[in-house]
Amino acid sequence: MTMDATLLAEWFPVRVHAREGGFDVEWCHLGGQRFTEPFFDDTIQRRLRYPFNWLFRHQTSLDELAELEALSPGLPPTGLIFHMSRCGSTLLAQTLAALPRNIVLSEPAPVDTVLRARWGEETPTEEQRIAWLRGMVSVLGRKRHATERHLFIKFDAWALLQWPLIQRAFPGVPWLFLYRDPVEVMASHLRHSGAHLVPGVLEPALLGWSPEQLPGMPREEYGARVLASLCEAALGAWESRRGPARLVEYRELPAVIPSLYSELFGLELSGEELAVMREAMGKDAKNPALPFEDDSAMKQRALTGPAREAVERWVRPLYARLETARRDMRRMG
Amino acid sequence: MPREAFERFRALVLREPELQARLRDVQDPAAFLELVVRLGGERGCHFTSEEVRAVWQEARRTWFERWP
Repeated sequence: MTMDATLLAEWFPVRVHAREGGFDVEWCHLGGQRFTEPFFDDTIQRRLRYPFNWLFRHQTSLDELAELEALSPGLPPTGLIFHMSRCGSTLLAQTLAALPRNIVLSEPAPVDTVLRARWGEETPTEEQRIAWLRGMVSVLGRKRHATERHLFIKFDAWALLQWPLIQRAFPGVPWLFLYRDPVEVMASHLRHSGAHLVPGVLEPALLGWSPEQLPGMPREEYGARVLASLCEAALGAWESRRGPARLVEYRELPAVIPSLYSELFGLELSGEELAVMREAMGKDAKNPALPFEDDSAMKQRALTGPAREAVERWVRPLYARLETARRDMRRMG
Repeated sequence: MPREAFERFRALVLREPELQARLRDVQDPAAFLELVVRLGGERGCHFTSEEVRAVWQEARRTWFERWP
């Protein structure tokens, strides 16, 4: 590689930009800063309070990540977290991040850019994207503290649409899909819409649609069909799973988290760690100053009219299938 | 050319962890700009705090324009 790799020891990729003929990676100095904020970008924003991080950044090509992976590999992923959005995934990630032995990457933008690189001006092969994804996760998963042992990645909700690629990149890594009654998910998006529910943000090809399908589609239908696509992708991943996996419904949170840790990810918890985890489980993940509250009843009441009809039509049948699969999973132990 | 002088200093900083250590934990903008100008001058890279501020603003603009 063109750069001395030792110069990047405390630096982390924060953005990936397309350029003519490839992609550039922008690196920011994080030092010992752990990823403990609700989202990866929150941690980066925290570092951007220091002027140094605006003025001094390294830059490499995306291809150089594979070389870095070989020179200084990060922790291999212990678990992958997929979700439907607005269903408690941040609570789960924050609970895992509460233990100093876990590195938790929560919706890291550079991973999303790499996963979606296919739909830009460039058309890299699947092999290239797998190499980039592995390289990016490896570089982001480098240990910076002696206590760090495990790496968890909570992907953006839409990442599951690329399950075959992720499965090839990380075969056999335990994963879970977290979901929730779609009425409650949609009610949350109506209050503050997630990026993927805004028409045009996700490439239609990612959803398996042609661009002609979009014009004239009511916003409520668009949102419901995106959520349906996520559930459908989860069902496909579940049915084709080759390693440890779990379906988790929002109502199981937060109580299920310690058992996921031991049964799905195969990690033991000390009494002290369990206490730390329980404290994190009791907080509002996106605003840890507030206690966690189940707002299902309020959200059930909030969703009415065309949005509710769209959810019942497009998402409810898939949610029912997920629930059946989850019950079967529990019955079979 | 002041911008060229700052770019030379930037390249120096990116190669020297000791220089980075002196700059990276300064949070106060005025103190940071003063330190950058001084350290740059000590290494023969002469630019003003206003010129550095302009580079900083440009970096912020680019960052938010490219927001994913």
